[in-house]
Amino acid sequence: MKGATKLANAAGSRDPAVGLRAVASLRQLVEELQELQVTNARDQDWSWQEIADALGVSKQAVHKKYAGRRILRRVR
Amino acid sequence: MFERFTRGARDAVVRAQIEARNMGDGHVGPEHLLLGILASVGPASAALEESGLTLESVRQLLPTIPRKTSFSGEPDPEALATIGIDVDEIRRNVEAAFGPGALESTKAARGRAARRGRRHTPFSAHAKQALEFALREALELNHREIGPEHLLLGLLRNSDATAAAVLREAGADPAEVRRILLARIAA
Repeated sequence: MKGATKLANAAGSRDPAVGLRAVASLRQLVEELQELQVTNARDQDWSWQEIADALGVSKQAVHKKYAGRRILRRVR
Repeated sequence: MFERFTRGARDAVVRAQIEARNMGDGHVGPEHLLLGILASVGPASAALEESGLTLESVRQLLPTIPRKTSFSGEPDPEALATIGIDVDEIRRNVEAAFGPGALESTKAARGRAARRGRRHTPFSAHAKQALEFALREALELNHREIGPEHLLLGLLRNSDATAAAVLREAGADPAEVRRILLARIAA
């Protein structure tokens, strides 16, 4: 059993060390999933506007973050 | 500063960095330094063992002590499990659709891999303070080099609660450990 679970069991779920690490982990995971899904959408010829709408963010936000990345131009 | 470290002290610091990384911690704290010292050979680890602490016992003890740690950039499966997220399940589903290693191949993940792979995990402020105290302890003892024993003396002088809490949880008194260690150094 790794650190945090033991910590959670020992100190309860109100321990900020566990809660904050969970949030940080979740945020990192979301970043990876989002990049993967945006890449996939671009590969399937979705426009930046369509991707932005699906994510519920502005086109500028998604374009600024992902456009121009070589990885997104990968052809399957 | 490290140029005055003995081979043993350098090894202890490297070991501390490895321990921090293995625990998913983004910084080397006093508790990791303690593990590094326990892995060394000499009066420091002997004094700790005489006080009832071993590398294994402290490794097992650490996760039960509330600590303030910094995020390593690596999603922590155990922390996510506490809020009901099974990261392995997510990985399985993602890989079923996008192939093996799909998450790891994202730029976001490679950023964290780069952080994980870098040679030096930074020291926390308390760890830095302990290293400074180690230098001071060596000077006060008129020792030319800093060994694991000075690292331990520095650690015991440190105001950080974590290392002291570990000692107390293990049933050792920091002042007593210091006394035992100084006696061993003088012997």
